[in-house]
Amino acid sequence: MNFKKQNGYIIISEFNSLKQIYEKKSELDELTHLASVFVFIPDSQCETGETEAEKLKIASFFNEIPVIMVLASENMQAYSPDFIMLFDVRLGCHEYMIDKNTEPDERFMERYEILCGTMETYRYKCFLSSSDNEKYASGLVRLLPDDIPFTEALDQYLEKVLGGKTDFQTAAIASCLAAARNGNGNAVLEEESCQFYRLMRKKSEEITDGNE
Amino acid sequence: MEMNETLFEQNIMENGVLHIIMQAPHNNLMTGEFFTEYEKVMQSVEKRVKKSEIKGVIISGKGRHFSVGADVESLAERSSDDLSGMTSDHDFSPGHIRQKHMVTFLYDLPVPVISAVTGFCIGSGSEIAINSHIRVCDKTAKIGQPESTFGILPGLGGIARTAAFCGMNTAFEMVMSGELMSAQEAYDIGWANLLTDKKQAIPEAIKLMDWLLTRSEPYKRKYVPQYIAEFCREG
Repeated sequence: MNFKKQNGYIIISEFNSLKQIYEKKSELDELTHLASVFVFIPDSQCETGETEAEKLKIASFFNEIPVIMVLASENMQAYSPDFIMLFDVRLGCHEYMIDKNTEPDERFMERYEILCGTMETYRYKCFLSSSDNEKYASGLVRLLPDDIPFTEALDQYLEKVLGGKTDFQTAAIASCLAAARNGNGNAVLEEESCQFYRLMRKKSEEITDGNE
Repeated sequence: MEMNETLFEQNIMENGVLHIIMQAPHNNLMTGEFFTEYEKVMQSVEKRVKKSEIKGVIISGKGRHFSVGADVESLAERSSDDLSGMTSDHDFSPGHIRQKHMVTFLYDLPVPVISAVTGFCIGSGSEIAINSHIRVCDKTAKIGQPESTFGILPGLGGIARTAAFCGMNTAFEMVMSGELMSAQEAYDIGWANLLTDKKQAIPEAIKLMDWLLTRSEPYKRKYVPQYIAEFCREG
């Protein structure tokens, strides 16, 4: 497994199971002090975990970590829905198709709504109750331009989104988004206010320091 | 027509819908004075909805723009006052709590709340829109939460509601980048519910509100995507 600190984020690559990620838990916890966005680029095949207990442990770790977990792959379709839906943000260059036979359970739909929002969830439910197609373009993946190499498109995207921000500011926004993982709107509202004033305090300190 | 505030025109329509028109100077720049009057208007809305005097709310901006958002200087001043009284990160000033409530309560109202979005709908202005249940956008609209480009973040429900309506990919990109998007992009990501021709957002919002109020089943915000689909089908 490889960790690479970039400006505002950390790239984690060369792994073929999330179990490997979990085994590096303490190292990742340390890295949360260096950046608030982790970008995971897995090998072409990657498992969530071997047993249900293992999968639950990994899901819980992903849920608790106070940084934004981004999955980036030019072949997202190679991974299972359970795998890609563990991540807060998914970046690829093709739509992620869901098979109609997947028959999502309640937990899947709850997670889908958190990741894709209310409008997309309604469209997906309409698809499930229709008899038209066998596959659905899920909206789970943010599509990057496919006319340039994927790594270049990824760099450009991350620069567009994170460029020009301090780690302190990225951490503040990431903290709010991490609070949105569980679909509890009130928790996000509270975190927004808290982080807003942390940033304002920082801003006013900088102004004061600049005046001295 | 009621004209009890200078920065906000309020029209009660025959069907009991309150149309609030923001008409502050400089394209509805949200100054301290704007927020003071906004809070008074919304306190009244909250009370009147409780008493069932209002059946729905439409919010729009007079002129070309919905709102260009908060005046950053005045925001910094007010926040500085708030900070001096805060003893911990969660000890928010009564002013902030009140102001935040007066934007975010719209989301929880039991009656339909529609923002008719034209021109710029930015920053705190976009937070009024995203706390509404439905956004009807005309094609001229430019939407965004550029707070991050000023070193801060949207603190009036912008992150919470963007995540709820549009999901995590969009909330991450929109809030972190602070970039503006077109009405079409807003529609594609689920931020806008309906897209209209130029100058048609308000008439379409009124038409949609009429349609919602004539339905036999009680209105529930969670069914908005379904209502929109039915409204579009019925033309």
